[in-house]
Amino acid sequence: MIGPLLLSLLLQSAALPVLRQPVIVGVALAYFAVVAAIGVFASRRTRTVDDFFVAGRGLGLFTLAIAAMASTLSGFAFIGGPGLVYSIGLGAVFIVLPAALTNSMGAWVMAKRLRLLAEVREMLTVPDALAARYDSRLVQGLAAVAMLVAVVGYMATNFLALGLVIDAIFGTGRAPAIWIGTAIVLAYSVSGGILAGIWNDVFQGALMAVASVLVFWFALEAGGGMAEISRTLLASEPEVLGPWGRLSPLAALSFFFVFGMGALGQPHVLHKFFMLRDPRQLKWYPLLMTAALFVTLLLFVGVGVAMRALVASGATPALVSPDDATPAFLLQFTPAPLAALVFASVAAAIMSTVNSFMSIGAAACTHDLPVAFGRRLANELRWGRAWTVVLTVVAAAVAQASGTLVAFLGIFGWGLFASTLVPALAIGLNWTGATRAGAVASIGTGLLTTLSLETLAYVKLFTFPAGVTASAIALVASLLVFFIVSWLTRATACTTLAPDVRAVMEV
Amino acid sequence: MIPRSRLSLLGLRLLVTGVVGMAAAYASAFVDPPVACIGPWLMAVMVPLTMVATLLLGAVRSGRPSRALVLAFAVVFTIVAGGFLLALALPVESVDAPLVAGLPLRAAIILLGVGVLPLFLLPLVYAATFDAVTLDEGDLERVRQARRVRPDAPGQGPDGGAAR
Repeated sequence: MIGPLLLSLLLQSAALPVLRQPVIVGVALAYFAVVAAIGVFASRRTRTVDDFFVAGRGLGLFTLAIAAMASTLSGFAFIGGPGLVYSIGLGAVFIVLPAALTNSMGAWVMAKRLRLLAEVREMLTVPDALAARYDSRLVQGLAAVAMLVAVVGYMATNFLALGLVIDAIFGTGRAPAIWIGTAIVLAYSVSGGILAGIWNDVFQGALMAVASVLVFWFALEAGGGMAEISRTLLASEPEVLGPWGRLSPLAALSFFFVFGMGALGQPHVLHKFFMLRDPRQLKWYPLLMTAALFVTLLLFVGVGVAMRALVASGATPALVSPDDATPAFLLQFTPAPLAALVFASVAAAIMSTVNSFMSIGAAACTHDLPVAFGRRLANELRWGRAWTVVLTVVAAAVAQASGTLVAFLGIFGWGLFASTLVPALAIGLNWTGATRAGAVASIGTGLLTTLSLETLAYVKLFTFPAGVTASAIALVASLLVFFIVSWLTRATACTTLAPDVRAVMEV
Repeated sequence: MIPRSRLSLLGLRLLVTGVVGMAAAYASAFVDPPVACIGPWLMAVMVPLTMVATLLLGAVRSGRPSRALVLAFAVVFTIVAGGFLLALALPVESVDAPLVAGLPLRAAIILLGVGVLPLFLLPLVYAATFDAVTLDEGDLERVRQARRVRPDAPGQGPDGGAAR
């Protein structure tokens, strides 16, 4: 029972309540106008492939942290997440709980190494880092294929979610709404590349943080304070406030593992480390990123728990769908301008995430795969723009299919990134004993295990025991294969490590 | 100062132990009780162990002070693993049980203990030790020097290494 519910909530595929109010429509229009203006401004600054894919390597710390936060959080943090808390209680919090560790892990394990690699090599993409680490085009090509598969699925689910938000605000109907949302993101991404995305991320991230803090305060107010909310739930539905919610302990801890360890393999965040102007600015990155994520995730926990208590106390009727938790709360318990701000933030969160994926997908097609085949393209900027359009149209077309196809493609995105990139990249950049064969084997294992197990589970040919997920098994399997194959081929470890890469790993 | 090789090796061994432990925890879910019951307890220890071991592997450096880091990582492991184990071990709260910061005890342990307590500890330790342990101007210069001495066309690997 929990499985299909989790799936629909994680993927944000259910229609939202109608939000057509003058204030909400007005704020949404103003928001889209600002996004368009930033896109136009950025397009004038995008002249080279470096500008298009790595923002000219000129980001400051604040910009990096806010952009990383904005692209980490999709619309799920505002709609699906609170809905998940509403339906399964604190078990859903295990998705965001690892944030206490992941930002510092990212800084110690990934940020410094990736940024320093950009000092010694030309780094446009995350697979570039793998190619440098293992001196291997095969590793680069395999990673690009895995990322491309995940990116199209992620983009499709995000376009569907964006279409649902636009449809709820403007009443355009779902199909036109998907194309409208796609066209807006496409316009600023093609013209301004990652630079437009980064500047929009900062605007959108600030919007998300402010909205989240205000809504959290209103949630506590509406519920009569945290103690009153707890008393109400303990009396009516105590399992909601149990430490694992309605999940089994194994399932909740699996969330912690996949979303904690898996955070080290999310290319839309890792890619941004190449863009930092001065590596020494990383000193304050974890603190800034943690503070930004913490305030932005307050809404995730607060609205879900408060709405559950408000329904239990009879203050509001039961929700038709868990996804209604945030819209229903905003429309009933917050002033219209704040509700409008949050709906704009939902669109912001989705757009900032999808822009990052566009850039990564286009880079895989324009740069990684041609390099893997030994045929680097002459004009990567022009090809980058062309591939951005192609991938976006494909993803939007998939989003139009809705339902099962989108669900199938979207489900394994995070897990696929994690199982293919965490061993070879995160561990490999910090362990000189890792070998090329280990990297190839682990990426292959992650790709095949994730795809096959998710497919088997999706078509119901195989059912996992409670608490066991395909993503977690794939991540554990690819880590084990990485260690075993690297150990078996340990004699080759030194031969694949170039002196400049060794210098980066020793620092 | 603890030599890096020892700490790196420790980090690697703990990481492998954590991953093998998680594999065992998942495997236990496929068999009947009482063996299946050990899964959550194993996960409660092995997940934080894996993450802290990864931190150790990434953070320690040769010839740099590492006691503060090791201490911070040990504290974080204790908080997270201890929080999970407590949440597993403590009984279900009654309706009129006392609240901790407005939350039932086990929920408070998870949300405030595991979720909030380490939240700013690691970022502050990172910032405090950054110059001494993580990256200073000398490190940057050494890396840039490595770029300068790198041959223009680095050796092609057996599968055609990416030379750029």
